[in-house]
Amino acid sequence: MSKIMIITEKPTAAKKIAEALDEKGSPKEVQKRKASYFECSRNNDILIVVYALGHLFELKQTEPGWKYPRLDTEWVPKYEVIKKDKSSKPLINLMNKLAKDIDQFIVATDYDIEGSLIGYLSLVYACNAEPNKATRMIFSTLTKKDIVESYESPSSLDFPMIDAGQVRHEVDWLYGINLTRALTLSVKNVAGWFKIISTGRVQGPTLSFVAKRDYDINVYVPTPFWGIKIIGEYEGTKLEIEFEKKKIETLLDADNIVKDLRNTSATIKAINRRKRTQSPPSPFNLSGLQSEAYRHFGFKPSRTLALAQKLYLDALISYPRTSSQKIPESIDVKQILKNLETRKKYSAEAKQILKIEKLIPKQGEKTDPAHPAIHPTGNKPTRRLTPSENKLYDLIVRRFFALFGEPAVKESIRADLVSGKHKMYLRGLRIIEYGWMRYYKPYAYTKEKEIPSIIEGESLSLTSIEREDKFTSPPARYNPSSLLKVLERKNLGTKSTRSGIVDSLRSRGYTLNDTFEISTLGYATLDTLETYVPRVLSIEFTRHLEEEMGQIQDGAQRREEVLAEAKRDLLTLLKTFKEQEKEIGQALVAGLQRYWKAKEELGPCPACEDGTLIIIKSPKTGKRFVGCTNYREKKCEQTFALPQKGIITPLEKECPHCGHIMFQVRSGRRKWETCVNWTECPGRQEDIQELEKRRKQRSEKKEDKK
Amino acid sequence: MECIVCGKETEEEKKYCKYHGEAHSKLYETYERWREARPISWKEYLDEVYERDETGKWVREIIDHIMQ
Repeated sequence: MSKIMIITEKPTAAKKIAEALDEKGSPKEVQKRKASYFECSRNNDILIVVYALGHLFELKQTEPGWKYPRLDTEWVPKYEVIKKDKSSKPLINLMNKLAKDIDQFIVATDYDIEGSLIGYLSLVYACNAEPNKATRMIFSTLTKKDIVESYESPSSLDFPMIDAGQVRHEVDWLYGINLTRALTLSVKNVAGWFKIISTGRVQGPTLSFVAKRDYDINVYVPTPFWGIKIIGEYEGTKLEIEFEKKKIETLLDADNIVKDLRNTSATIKAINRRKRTQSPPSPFNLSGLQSEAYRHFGFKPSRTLALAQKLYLDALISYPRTSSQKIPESIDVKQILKNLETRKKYSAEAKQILKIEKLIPKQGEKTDPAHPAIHPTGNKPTRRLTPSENKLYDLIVRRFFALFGEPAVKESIRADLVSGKHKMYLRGLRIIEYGWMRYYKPYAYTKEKEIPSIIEGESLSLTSIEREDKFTSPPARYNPSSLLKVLERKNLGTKSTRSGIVDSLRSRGYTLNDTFEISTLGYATLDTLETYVPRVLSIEFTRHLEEEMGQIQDGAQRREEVLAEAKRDLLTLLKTFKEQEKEIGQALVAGLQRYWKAKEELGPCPACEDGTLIIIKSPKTGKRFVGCTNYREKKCEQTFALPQKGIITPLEKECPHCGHIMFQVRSGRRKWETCVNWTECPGRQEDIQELEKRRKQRSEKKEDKK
Repeated sequence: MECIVCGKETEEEKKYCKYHGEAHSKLYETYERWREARPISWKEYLDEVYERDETGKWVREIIDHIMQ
């Protein structure tokens, strides 16, 4: 009889693993002060299943002082670095105590870089165990079958993966901490303010290309062009006809075309029919899922990841942090479909697919040696899923169904029409075979456009010819999903870190909203870095590091060499920085002043027309309101009420109802636009009544509870 | 020198910072394209560009400044 410790990453995973491995399926949860573990038995062995809560150990500088450069680090318990952290100490102490009489250690954290590192650090620093003697459970779903199989045939620890994880943390720490301190101290030394100005190995380049897009939009001047809108008629049916040129450069040309086509007819010169088959989409990897969830539900990538993680811990889907678009043969797709068939919601589609003789799912291009593509396990939820979890789960299940569908067949028809010297097109589209689209409803959608049966040589009368005045548009702003795709394409960050980087631009104040409009602080930081230390913004520089870290994982590079090179480069960078610290600080201080001003200034005062409306916090009540800058000189007493909750961002537009200046309020996930005159504005009275109704209902509910 | 639109520091002897400088150049360059497309005076051009949603915010600030 042996005593075996299994180290997992989260309490939910620990419970699932303990339940799967316990012979009776009911492990004992042992509570020890503020931590717990699961105890179970299997094959006469006692299994102790412990859990971390993500990382229990963090990097800390070995030399003291909030200074730079600081290049040497060590792993220490998280609570030593993050003083507010209360959860890591009891867990580390528990692991340490339990590890004393353990015969064998098994790491069962997520099988990826982060998971392997969490397992390794817990093993070495919390359990004082010998990593070479420990084994590894590798699984992609938390189903009983996968857990038992991985327990019965464990592997050794993946040391290249652990090294890659360590070096990623070390390099990110070195760059993030040193550069952020350099920027922050430059401001402190110039103005005496302590305001964290952050940048990092990936954050800098990300800010750089988000700003490039913002710049292109801000200097954009639209130019006019014209289109021709043509409506034809064939046997009483009105038809939309496309002019051969979508963009006509001059007004004169557009007017001449209209003149030429008015009161004429067009002859059908040729009819082209083209059948196009569309293969099923690829299985989901994480970025594919994030992109599709944003498209259909508007979920930010970080939210999709968090929801998918919950579904994984409930053993409803496979491990979501994967790059793979492949469903390997080892996955029993038939059994998954059979399980889904038992669920009313998916029964019809699953039944249909199970009739297929050979169940071969569509495979994508991308691979990941650690995990397959995201797919459902077929398990039934054991709790009521939230509406958001339900949406994501449905998307994953229906995409899985679509993999087994036949290609969809679409027919496009184009009739070439001629009137005088001008050509036009009549286009139609119909779906001949729905194939996989049938299973991927409502997420696969094609708008069909029917056209009547026409014959070459026939004529259509052109009943309406109109000139359309149009303007060119600036490039589209990024959204969280498109930015994530760009990061992936440029090989910046990893599948696990990208969504956090996207969010950090906002939380650091560098962008103003989800469309990644750069703030004055963002531009100030960017300008400063571009002028004095442009390497921090270089995509090539960080991509080179990224490639080297990838090579460590493949066993082609040594961790120590990559780390030494990164330190050398950083030292050179910091030396350049130090030499120009004063200039950098001055530039940032000027930028910060503009940023704070922009955040509190709403626009000209409508009462005195001389002052500026600014957001003021009452020193007496602590409440905020809008007042005029001329108030102090007693020249203007104009004030407006402000909502007390949420972040206020001035908008450069006027209220369509009363003409007052507008602003945006963002509170939690809700955001809305209103004007400074919102309490009196004639266009907002309904909103106020609605608000009062909601308040009343809330207070009534509170009363009822009492 | 300070940018006459936003007060940011400019490169020596320049009226505008690099952002408003670029917006200013674009505004003048594009006027030629507008004139090729249809007859329009400078004043009408500025009014129309200012009103368009597609116009960048720095371009609008430059127009504000020119109009003043």
